Amino acid sequence: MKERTLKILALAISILTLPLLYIATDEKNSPTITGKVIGKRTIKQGEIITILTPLNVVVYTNTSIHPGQTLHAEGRITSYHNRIEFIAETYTTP
Amino acid sequence: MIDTLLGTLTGIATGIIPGLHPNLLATIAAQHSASEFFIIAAALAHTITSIFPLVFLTTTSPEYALGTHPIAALSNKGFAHEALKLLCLGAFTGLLFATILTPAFLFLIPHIRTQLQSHIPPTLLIAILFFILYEKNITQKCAALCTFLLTGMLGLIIFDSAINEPLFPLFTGLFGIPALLINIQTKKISVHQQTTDLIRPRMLTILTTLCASIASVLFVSFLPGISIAQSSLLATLFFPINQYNYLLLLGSTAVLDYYFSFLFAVLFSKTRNGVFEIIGPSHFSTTTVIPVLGIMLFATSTAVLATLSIATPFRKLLTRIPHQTLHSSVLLFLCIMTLIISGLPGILVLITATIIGFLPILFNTSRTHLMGCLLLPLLVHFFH
Repeated sequence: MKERTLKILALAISILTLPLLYIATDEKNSPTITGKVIGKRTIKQGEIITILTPLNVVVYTNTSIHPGQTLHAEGRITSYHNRIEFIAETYTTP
Repeated sequence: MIDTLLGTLTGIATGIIPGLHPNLLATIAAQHSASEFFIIAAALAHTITSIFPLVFLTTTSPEYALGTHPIAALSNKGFAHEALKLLCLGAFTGLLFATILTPAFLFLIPHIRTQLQSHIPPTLLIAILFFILYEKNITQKCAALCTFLLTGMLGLIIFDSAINEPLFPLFTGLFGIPALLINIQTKKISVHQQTTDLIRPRMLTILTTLCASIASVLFVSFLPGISIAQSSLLATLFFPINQYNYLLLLGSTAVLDYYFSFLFAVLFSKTRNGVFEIIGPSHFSTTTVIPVLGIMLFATSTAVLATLSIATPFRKLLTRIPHQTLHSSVLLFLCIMTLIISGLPGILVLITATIIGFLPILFNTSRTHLMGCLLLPLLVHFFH
């Protein structure tokens, strides 16, 4: 097989898998949480905040949020060893 | 999808750093809460582009531990690009071929496992003895046995300890640091490298090699602790593999390790691959087969395309950087990472593992005996 053939095949597979990835790793089906921010002080930008929901969850955000605020967040759940985290990708504070 | 794209780009960039293992990349990504899609794409792309340092800087990673000779043979003649192309071809076609066969594997693997399960401990013991006795002379056989036992004892000690992420300093010490130190000490002989396309394997040759790699990787997937490099050796015993086809075999086995580890995670929630272990094998089910295989195909094909496209400018850039400075920087980086991840006990493991890691180099034996660090604890577990 020529190197050029390999390059064309690799390019074709890269392009063909893109729509599959878009559909299969659909990020529109993200889990959502709603709860109150707990803590004693205003959480600064980039800090981890804890949300009081039926289950307490830790959320990573990139804006400042005040304790007592209600947060509705949409994101994804990740886990690393025995720790489970919720990463908020979009959120509103009504 | 964005995670996959970012992961692929990250893997392509990190793969060119010599001595950096995909497991370290996965550990760092997981600690920063990266998604599993990012981690898989990064690890696959990293595995492909790690062919660069393998071919142009001769730092050998554990996946390719048996494969240094054909690469060195081509590199010394100025045909390193041919080695790079064959490894990429093996990786790309191997994953593509296996992906087509996925429904058959999902059906067959549980049946094979049921038949093999009770025979795994004796098969593992026979495989270990075979690899030790496969060494050429009595000195090398004894050295292989000593290496196996020493790494095994180190494995037993660290798995019983409270060291954080013990596999990182262990594998870095056994496989990474000795090769880096040798490369720092060795004065690099400059061979003029050419960008050629002379070795063109035929379709039948590619298919035979892919069948060999699939059969061997599938077989060792049932045997915990046996490395992928050892599967390549097994394939050469049962299939007609010549020097150049061996590079196809090495390329495909490195990627098929991820593929079969993923299928085992889906079917049994168990895996032998460090990257899937870091993500957590219970993350995967039959519903994740299509997205994850899509990610694997995308990351592999994009990384193959990138590797072949930037090979020539990258090689020219490498000749300008003093190789001792490059390897020393990586060595320092790995030591700092060990200190951050595993602390001072990790440094102790790193030093001990590095000393043991020199044994195969001193006695000219296969470095795969260093996998005793996983195999001896497993044998103790099976026969205790």
